[in-house]
Amino acid sequence: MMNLFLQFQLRKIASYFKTGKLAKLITSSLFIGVFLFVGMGIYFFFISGFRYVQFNVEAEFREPLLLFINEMFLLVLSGVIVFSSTISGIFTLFRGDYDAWVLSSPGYKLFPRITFIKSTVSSSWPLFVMFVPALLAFVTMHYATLVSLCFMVVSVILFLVMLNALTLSSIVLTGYVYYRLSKVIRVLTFNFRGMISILVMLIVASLVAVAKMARSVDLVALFRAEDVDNAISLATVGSHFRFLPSHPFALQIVHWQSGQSGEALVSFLVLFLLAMGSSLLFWYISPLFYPLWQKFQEGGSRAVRSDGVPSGSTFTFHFLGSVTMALFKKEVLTALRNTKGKLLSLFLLCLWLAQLGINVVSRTNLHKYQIDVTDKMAILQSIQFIIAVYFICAFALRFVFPSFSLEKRTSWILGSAPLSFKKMFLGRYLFYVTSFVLLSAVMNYVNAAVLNLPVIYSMYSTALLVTVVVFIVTLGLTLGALFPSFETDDPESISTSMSGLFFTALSLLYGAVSSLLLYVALTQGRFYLLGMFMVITVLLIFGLLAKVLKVHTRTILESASTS
Amino acid sequence: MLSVNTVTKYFGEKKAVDGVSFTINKGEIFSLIGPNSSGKTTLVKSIVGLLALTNGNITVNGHDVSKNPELAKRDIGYIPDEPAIWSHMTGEEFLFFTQALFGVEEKKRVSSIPSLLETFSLQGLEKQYFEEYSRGNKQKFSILAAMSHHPKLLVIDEPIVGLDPTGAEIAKKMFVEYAKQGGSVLLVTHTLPVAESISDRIGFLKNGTLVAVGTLGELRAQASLPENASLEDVYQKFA
Repeated sequence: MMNLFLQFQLRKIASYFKTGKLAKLITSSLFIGVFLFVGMGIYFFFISGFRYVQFNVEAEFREPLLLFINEMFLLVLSGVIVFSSTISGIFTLFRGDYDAWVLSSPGYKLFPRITFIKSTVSSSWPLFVMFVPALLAFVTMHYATLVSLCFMVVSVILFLVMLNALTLSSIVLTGYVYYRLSKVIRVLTFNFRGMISILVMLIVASLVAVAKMARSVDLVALFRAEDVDNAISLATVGSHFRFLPSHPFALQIVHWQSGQSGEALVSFLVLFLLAMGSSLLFWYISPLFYPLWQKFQEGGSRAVRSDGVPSGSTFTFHFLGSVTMALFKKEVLTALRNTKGKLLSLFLLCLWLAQLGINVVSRTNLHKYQIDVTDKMAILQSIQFIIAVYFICAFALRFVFPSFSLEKRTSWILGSAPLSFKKMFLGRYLFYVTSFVLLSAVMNYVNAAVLNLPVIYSMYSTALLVTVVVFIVTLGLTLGALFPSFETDDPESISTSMSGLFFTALSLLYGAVSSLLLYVALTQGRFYLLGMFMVITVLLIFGLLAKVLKVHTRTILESASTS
Repeated sequence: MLSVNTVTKYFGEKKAVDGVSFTINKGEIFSLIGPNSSGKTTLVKSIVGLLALTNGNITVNGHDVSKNPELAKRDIGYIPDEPAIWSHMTGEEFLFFTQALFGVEEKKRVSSIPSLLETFSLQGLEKQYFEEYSRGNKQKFSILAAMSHHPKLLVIDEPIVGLDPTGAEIAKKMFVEYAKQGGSVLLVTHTLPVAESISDRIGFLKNGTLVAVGTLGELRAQASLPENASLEDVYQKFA
């Protein structure tokens, strides 16, 4: 099966380069460029961090601090992997469009196991972009041997296997318990929406628990910085994280860093056993998936009463107003009722909340120990700005950019209606601009409020942010319309297409430049730079709109109909 | 009402439609039949403006589909072979949305829904999402949506597939009634008994070329078949 999978992937790459070779080579180079850019950023971030720890931190703090950094890094990565695997896992397991063929065959039991392999493979390559530079930085600063490097690369794979197995096991087990309970408790209806609601509740509950813990974190007390005679040990820091599945890996890295090979091997062994144990657990419980899948085939995502009417009320859209307004409302409808999209938004919002949590911890500690950071306000504001921009880029990449490509199967509806492309574009554009400007303004305001940043700073950054966000949305929708990808219905695959990565690179770069200009303006008072940048941005927006509105509807429809 | 003039369509090197010409008059039902991959759906998609022509032109009610697509499309009601509709839109919302796209007055939109639903006895199902409908009910809603803005030309790609016998009979009667009231119908189908029972004229498409066109009697004559030969016999002869 793996052989078949690999052959399929290799043929896919080969067939990609069969046509339009030069254009595809350029976009492939851009693709690699984006990853090198991100990788270098991570590499230098870790180099500077490790260097600081090596030369500026007192010897007795070094190891505990490295462990703390490793634990936090792996904890955040675990959260990202678990959340994204939950979303992709639940939809791949239960809502695939063409799975009936496999599930009606004698090999149906293999389906969840193949999903596990696919999920692990698909979550591995972006993670390697983060891990490889981190490991290289580690080697540069700590003169690690080839053996330790090999062990850590294998550990990354084991770490991914373990998290994916645990996530998919949780999905199947949660679904099965819910299914059994619904048979006993009559008021509990078993349907896909209920399953999603339970998983969301579990995620929110764990977030609330983490938030409660994070609010009271006292970094000075944690590292006993006021008690220099009684220095903190590795075990004390580790004790705060010992129940996390990422703990053995974090511990292993610190042991390699300090040259304790024996202890590092023990941690590696623990991680290996955890990975094997969780894989075996999933292998063993995966057949439980089948009755759930069968049950989910009965109708749609909602419970339907015996008279055929869905239970629970649904707001009816009447699409009153102009044609553009009807198209706008259609976007609202599809966004509001897209469960996977809503889950992904929740995921991105959780990432933002995690960043907000760090701000809260920083504010609490700064306030408690009365540390004056007035001279750091400009850099803090610029960092909050770029974080808001990067979250908007992530949202735009997932929702705005694939917008036209996702209409392949339904393209006949708008394509056969008496509409110009201008109207089709504007309905969508209005929706995304409105929602993204609101979202970014809220993010920027909350970020600044949490850190008590000056109001005047927030005003400048909000004005700049609105302009940049409109530009990012315009760029995403324009590139998505000019280079639609109709080869898949999966928005994640569309987002990681060559043109999607090109959009990522451009928007991230634009965000970085705007953040830098904000910093320069706030520190040097050169606000005219911001004004110039905003004027250029507005001109670019109009330029992009002028370019895309010249496109004929048939250009897009033709590729949708023929692909 | 519809005029297809020497239409040619290439997909890369492959010629899908080769110099096809025919017209459909007001109040006429014209069926297009032919084997798989003969270019029927390509031709239909070109007529409703989903595909650009390589050569030739198509006019609907005097409006060129390539030059004035918005005016031409205003008069067309299209029922595709695969009724793919946004999975979380309800049937009722789809009817409202289609009417909005075709500029039907707001008052008429709301008042027309009950009678539209009654056509296929879909009352009570209109609040369900499309993902919750059977294939046949999806097809029924797409037929109603195409009719809901009172087009002058109905372009139908496989109308009966997925419909139960009652639904198929209702659909047939609906198309005949529509033609009697002055509407024109282009019917693309493999269900030969339907084409035979309701068509005024029939065209046979093979390898992208219209090899025969006429009434059933004329087709029999062209195929040198007796007067009692069915459309099935005619089809086998041309295929």
